[in-house]
Amino acid sequence: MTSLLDPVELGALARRVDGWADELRGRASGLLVCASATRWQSTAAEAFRRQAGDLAGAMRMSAVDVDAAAAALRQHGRQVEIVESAIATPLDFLADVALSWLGG
Amino acid sequence: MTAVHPIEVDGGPGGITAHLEDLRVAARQVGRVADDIGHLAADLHAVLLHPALLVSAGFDPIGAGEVSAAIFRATDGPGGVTALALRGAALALALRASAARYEAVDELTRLAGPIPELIRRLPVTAAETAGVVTVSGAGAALEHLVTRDPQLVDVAVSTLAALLTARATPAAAAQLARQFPDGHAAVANLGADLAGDALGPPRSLRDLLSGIDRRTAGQAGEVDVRILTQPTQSGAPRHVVVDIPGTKTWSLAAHNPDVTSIATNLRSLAGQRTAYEEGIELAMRRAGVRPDDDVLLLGHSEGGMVAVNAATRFAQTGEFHVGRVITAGAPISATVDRVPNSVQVLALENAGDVVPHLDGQPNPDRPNVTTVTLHHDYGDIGRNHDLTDSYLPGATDVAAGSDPSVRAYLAGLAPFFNATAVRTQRFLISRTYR
Repeated sequence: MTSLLDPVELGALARRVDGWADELRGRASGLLVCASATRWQSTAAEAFRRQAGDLAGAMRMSAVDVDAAAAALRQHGRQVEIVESAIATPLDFLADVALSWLGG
Repeated sequence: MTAVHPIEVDGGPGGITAHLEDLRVAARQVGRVADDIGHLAADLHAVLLHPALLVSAGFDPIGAGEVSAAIFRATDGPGGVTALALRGAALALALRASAARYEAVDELTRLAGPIPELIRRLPVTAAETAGVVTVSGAGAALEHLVTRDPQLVDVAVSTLAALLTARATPAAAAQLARQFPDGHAAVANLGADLAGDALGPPRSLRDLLSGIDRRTAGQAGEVDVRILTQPTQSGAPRHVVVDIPGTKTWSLAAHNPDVTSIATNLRSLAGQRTAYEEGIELAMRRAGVRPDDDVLLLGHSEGGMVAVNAATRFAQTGEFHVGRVITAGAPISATVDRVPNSVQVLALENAGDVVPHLDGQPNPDRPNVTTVTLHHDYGDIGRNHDLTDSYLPGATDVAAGSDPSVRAYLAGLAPFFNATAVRTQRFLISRTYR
């Protein structure tokens, strides 16, 4: 039972999701740099820079949602850890009793 | 009070510039960002199926549900990464399409010049002209045709040049110029323009153009150098205006002492150095223009071509610092591309004036070349090209314009409009064959 439940793995998953949020923020910054560095001047260019700015802003907001997903995973991992230890203690007690009866 | 006519503006700092390679690189980078976000969406979806989450859901179903909801919000919500990947892909596609369109337009312009614009306009122009033919005869109809739509002249000239010489217009002009030897410049000092100076220094674009209008009324080859004095100026760089009028005689004689004759027109159109340009250089030296003076070359018609060519060569030699050129009714499209970025060019072109179209193509769209189209149509080739009738009132229209390219150009002219006094020296340039 305990081998299938792995709070450590859930923590690792949360860290990976945290990394994706950071990656999203990095890509948003890269997009802004790219938009401002492009030597292009016209009405269409202004529209491109505006859209790139909007997209970068949306990516940063989305990164906050990804952060929230990572936080939910971490919280879930902690909860599972509590449940796991609550179950593990009586099981260990019963195992000790069984072993003593068998003369182990 | 004179009514202000509408203007159209092309080029200048508010115009279109696009580095195609930049656009392609940007399209690739935005495309990569879209791909990365797409992979991120797939990775986030995969978390929902991760064994650790599936197994743990039985022990903390509420927490697992919150995780699932948070991941759905981050991936598939209205602002989720899946939607962002699509937006990024659309942006990359738009950029690629823009680059392709610019490339196609460049190629089309190279191949066909103004023909697409002609095709757009021709039905209206032809229908109107047919009416004039029946009422006033073929001569009036032709004038109506070219003044109503001078872009026809672009096409006619470039087509004619190609048919006659199998070359583009500037090359054809250079070939024809061989029939008209240019010789060298002789410059005579005509003294000060006391009447002009009594009017005071220029305060507006119209005042600037009035100066060249005075020289246009003078002898063939008459130019001037206006040195403007600033309030606090001892040894500081001065502001100087050089007025260069256009053609005075259209004689086809091979040898002609009039420096404004056809030999200059053909060579200037092809960007070649002319005796007229040499005379401008000599006149500036004699007027005492210094290398650090801020010079504005102002040319009407042929004078505009000479001004553009002189500005290009002065930038190469460094003898004079020409920061600005203003042309009125001048065909400069083939030569203005050679002007360095340090020189700001304002090209005024009346919509019904055929002369700016004699080079067979529209002016290039560059940050330092602002082309303003004026609208003063008299249905008369001469008046549509005339400084007094068309370009002086046009200067008032320009001053009233709000286009950013125009405002930037006029802001750069401010020091020329703040002078306390002006001293104008007139010179007569003639052609000699020695």
